[in-house]
Amino acid sequence: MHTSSIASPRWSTSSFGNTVDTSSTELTALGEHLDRCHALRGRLFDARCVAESMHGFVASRFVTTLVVATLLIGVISLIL
Amino acid sequence: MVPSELRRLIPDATPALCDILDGARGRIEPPIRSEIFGLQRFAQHGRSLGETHRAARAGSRSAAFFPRLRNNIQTLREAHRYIGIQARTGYDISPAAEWLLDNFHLIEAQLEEINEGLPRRYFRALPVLLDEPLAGLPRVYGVAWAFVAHTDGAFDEDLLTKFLSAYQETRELSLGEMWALPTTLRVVLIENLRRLAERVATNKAAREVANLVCDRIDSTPVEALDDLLALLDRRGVARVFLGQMSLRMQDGRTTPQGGNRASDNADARAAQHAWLRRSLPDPAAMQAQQRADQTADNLSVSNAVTSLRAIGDADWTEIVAHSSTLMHLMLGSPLFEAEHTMTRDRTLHGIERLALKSGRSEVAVAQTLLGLMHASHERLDAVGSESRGEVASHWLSGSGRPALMLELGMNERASASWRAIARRLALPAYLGSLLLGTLGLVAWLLQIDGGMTHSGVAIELTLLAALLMLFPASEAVVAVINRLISESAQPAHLPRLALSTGIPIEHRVMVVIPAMLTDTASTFALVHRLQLHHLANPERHAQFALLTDWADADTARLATDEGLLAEARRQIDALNARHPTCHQGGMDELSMRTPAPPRFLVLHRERRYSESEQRWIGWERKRGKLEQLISVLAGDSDPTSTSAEPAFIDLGDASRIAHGTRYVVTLDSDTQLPPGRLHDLVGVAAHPHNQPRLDATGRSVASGYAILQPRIVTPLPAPKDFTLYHWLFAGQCGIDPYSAATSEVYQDVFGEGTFTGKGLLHVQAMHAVLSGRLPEGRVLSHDLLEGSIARCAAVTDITLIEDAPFHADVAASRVHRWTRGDWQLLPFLVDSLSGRSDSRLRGINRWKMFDNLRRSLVAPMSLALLLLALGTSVVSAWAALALVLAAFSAGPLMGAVAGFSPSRDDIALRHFYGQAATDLARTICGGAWLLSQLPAQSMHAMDAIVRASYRMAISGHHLLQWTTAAAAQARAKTALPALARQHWREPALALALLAALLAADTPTAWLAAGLCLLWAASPVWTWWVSRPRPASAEEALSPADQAYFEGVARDTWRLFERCVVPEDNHLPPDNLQTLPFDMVAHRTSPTNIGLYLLSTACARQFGWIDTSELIARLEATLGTLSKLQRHRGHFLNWYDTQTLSPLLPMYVSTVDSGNLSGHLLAVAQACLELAAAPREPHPPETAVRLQSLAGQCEAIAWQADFNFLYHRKRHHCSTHYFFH
Repeated sequence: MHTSSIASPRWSTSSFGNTVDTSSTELTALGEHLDRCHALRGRLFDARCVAESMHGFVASRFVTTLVVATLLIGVISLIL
Repeated sequence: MVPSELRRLIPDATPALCDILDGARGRIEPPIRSEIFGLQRFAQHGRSLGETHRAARAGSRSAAFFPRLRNNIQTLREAHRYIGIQARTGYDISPAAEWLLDNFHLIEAQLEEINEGLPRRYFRALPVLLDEPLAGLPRVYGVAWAFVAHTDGAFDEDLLTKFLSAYQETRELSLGEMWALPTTLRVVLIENLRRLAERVATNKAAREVANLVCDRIDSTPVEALDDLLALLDRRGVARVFLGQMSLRMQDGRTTPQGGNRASDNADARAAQHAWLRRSLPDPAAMQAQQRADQTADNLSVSNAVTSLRAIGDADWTEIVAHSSTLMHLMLGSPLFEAEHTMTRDRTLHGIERLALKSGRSEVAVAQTLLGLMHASHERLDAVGSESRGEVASHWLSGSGRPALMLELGMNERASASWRAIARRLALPAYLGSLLLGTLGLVAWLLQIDGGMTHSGVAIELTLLAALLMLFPASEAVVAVINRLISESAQPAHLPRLALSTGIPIEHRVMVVIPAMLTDTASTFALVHRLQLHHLANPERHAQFALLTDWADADTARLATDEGLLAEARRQIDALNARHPTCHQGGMDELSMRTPAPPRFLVLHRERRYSESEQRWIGWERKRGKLEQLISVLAGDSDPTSTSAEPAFIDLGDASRIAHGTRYVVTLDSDTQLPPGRLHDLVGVAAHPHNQPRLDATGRSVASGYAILQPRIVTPLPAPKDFTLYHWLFAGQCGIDPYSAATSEVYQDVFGEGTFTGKGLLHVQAMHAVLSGRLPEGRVLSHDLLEGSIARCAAVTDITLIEDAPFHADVAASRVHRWTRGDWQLLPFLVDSLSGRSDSRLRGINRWKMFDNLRRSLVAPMSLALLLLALGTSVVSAWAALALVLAAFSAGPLMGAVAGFSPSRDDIALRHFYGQAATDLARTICGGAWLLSQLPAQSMHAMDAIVRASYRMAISGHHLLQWTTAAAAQARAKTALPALARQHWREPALALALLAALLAADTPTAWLAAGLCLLWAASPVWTWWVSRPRPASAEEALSPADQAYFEGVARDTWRLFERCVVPEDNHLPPDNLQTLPFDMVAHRTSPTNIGLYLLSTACARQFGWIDTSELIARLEATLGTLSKLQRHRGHFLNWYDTQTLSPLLPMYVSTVDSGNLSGHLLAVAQACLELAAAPREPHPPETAVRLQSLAGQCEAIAWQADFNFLYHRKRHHCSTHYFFH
């Protein structure tokens, strides 16, 4: 491992009169964060999105869902 | 595996240590921390960042970004757990770790809130960056990251506003992104906290490893140290390990193993020192750097924790208003600027949707919209046209939308046509659904029972059964259809003005209570109610009036009249003296010279002879009073008067109406007007979108609304009044402070609500369309008719409070009156259908009138259906019973069933389902009770219908017969014998029916007997549900609970006994930590002080201290309070109890200050009570000292000035006020 000698403490929040543009360190850190977030989403992320939307839809339309399901079952049982 | 490797190298390593240093978890990440920018450099950075942020909306197939929030939460909890273990076992922890430990409950609360408010699709709709390496990252996330990095997570509204404004000089942010910023900032702060917490915990673990190594240094070869260093380097904490090693070896605090191998150990030690020098050539610099990093981490943690709360408290509306280009542009419109935030949001969302649809920027759409609004306004000025073009909603969702689409180069012909068709077909579709549903249900019930196929059943009977079934079936179907609509239709929101400085003079309003002067006590109650309305709504340009009549009489005047009126006037004068008005603010010379009109009025009428009632009454009762008042306010002489006498008796100043009153808010005598509702109602009425516009005849409101009907909610019943009837039928009680608009089918689908007699009336429009319009002596239920003619809007997000009946007979009396009133409107319905009236009512209003008649017939027809089913085999008696039950309980039952669907997953499920089951049981009990009252209700309904019909068609008398709620309540009986005597007809009818059914050889004898006996006992059921059940001994605490609470109380006092000591200047500590050892926090807040003072009074009440100790404690603490620094009478939120100096940052907490004031007032009352009624004999000076203490407490309580904390625009107090 590499351990370099440091003469005095370096404060990450200090201003060294650098440009105000986004530094490459910041860009790299954010890029790595983006990659980690993508990696942690999991394979079922899209399915979970759909499930969340469905839950939101059904939870606020509970009786509607029951009525539609009852009607569907009724129609199917009539057909069969 | 790495943990086992660590265990191999250090056998004493705990599992927690192995877990946190697991190299497989990767290197710990640095905090999100960069150079701190000042205002100017931040602005430069914003511009620079904007230039690099090329973005577009993500395609539907691209992978959506979602932050690792759940992973962060897990890591934070792990780190907290590890630090907690370290702290408990007595190890030193860093200040950052202390911050985390002390504030983790706050962090947890924030985590839950953020997790709840961040669905997986949250970032999907927002623009994402296009360029690598950040391609796919939501742009707003990048903005939030930069802000957190360059502020070290310290949230500052001014800095953020400046940063966003500068950013948008080079890159426009969408409104959706602006509003996503609060959540995104919190997500990034949580990410930062995770990094910091992980770093703090892992560094601590690395130091622990170093300590373990040093503890058995002699048995650790250099090779093992190499392995260990490599292992720790994989986690990124090798340098921390080395630093700690270096410290221990410098201090010589290593623990040598005993034995005779001293020279061997010396060699080994030399090798280890050499190894350490190799690995860490400059330990001093490294240790200095570590101290710097620790200090920085400490600051970052405290910033993040503070910011998480500050972001929630920030005024985001203001931040967006100051930093959004779109908002800047829209605020150029005076109307938009004056609008309420909710209305503005609707407009902005409309623009957002159009921008998305048209592919243009939001600013470009807004410019087009403003152009049209401006042009329309100019046209309006030029020709005085009554257009709504100055209102944004006219163009975004009203009739101006095609023109806006054209301007934007979009063609919406198909959807515009569809919307027009949908509007036109809404009523036929609604009524068609009801009809089809009803017919379908009836046909199904007849078909499943095979009634049509019974060879022995006459077709006439089947048709009769079908006819009877239509009524209960329609009732159930109406409930289902309305429920389905309410679940899918967006609750209507009427645009409104903010009126941030209160109701202006040009929108002056008068709140009136139409009532009768019957006795002094009721007059006092009316005047008191008027005062409460004013106190809750202290608007400068509002008057509050009693609109009164004397009770009906056989002569024009009664001997008691003058006395009653004089008493009312005296009380109103007294009220005016107590709440005087100030100058009204008019700038013209006349208003400067005219004395301000009084705040409270009594407007009283003489009686007139009524042909209908054959008595002397107030002309047309409540309807007449309001019509006459409206005429007077509209500047018209009383159109109903046959003489020159004014409508209201001149009572001097007590009847002086303010000039230019534009609205009347009418309330019943028992209606409560909660704080701010008057302002809110006028805000809706004052918006140009809602202003009523008359048609060409000037006798009908063509658009807008002349009446606003707020939602009526039921308060929680007082324990002494509670009855089962109220519990069964009053619905959800209590006020929800966060209530939003709820569904009102007629308003949401047809754009018109139903007037129920309490609401806001637009004076000029009401006068134009209703003055002298309705015939005399015929209209009892005038609300529906007036609402139909003048157009009424239901404003469901503004609530009034009114109690529901507690006694079944009071409710029945009310329904009887309503039914008579509804049937007396039948001629208006017929005239409107035949076109004989001077203006046809709109279809939806005709349906409402018809629906009321239908509903009044449901009970009689249901009874007839049941009797037919029980007496014949034309329809199954069980099916008929099920249908009747469905008619009575379908609506509430669906609500109760829907209550089983939790909208969140972080709730106590057992409690939730317990409540849902209680609601369901209540609904079922309600349905069963209504079934038991079926004959009673049928008789009531038929009585009302026959009476109304006879009076209309034959006698022409008593069409205005009215029983006040108070009179009905006074007549209601609660003793069973009295109720049985009053309701003897129901048991008689039920037993007669049973006899008839048995004689007719009913095929379902048991069911018939059961139902008839249930009905025969109806007086018992009425008594059962109507008798008051005050909270009594049955709800008293059990001895175990009592003992538990007393123990808690005693323990609480014991804390104060031990901790409120002279060393702490007799101030209570904020907390006492008992783990890892007893530790008193020597700081206090106003809430702590208030609770301590109140506890002292309670301790005296419990007998734990005597009066002399109470006095000594109160005097000591009040003495200290007099020395503390205050701001405008408020105590600051934190003081050091030992030095009495305020803790930084100095601020006033509104909640804490309010707590202290309230507690001080309570303590003052306790002292006064004790002085007046001592619990033990005490010398006279004790009473004097107690009174003096009470005076001091009250003085301190009232010294706090809350005015400067009130935010007039947001209509609430700021939670904190920081000052320097």
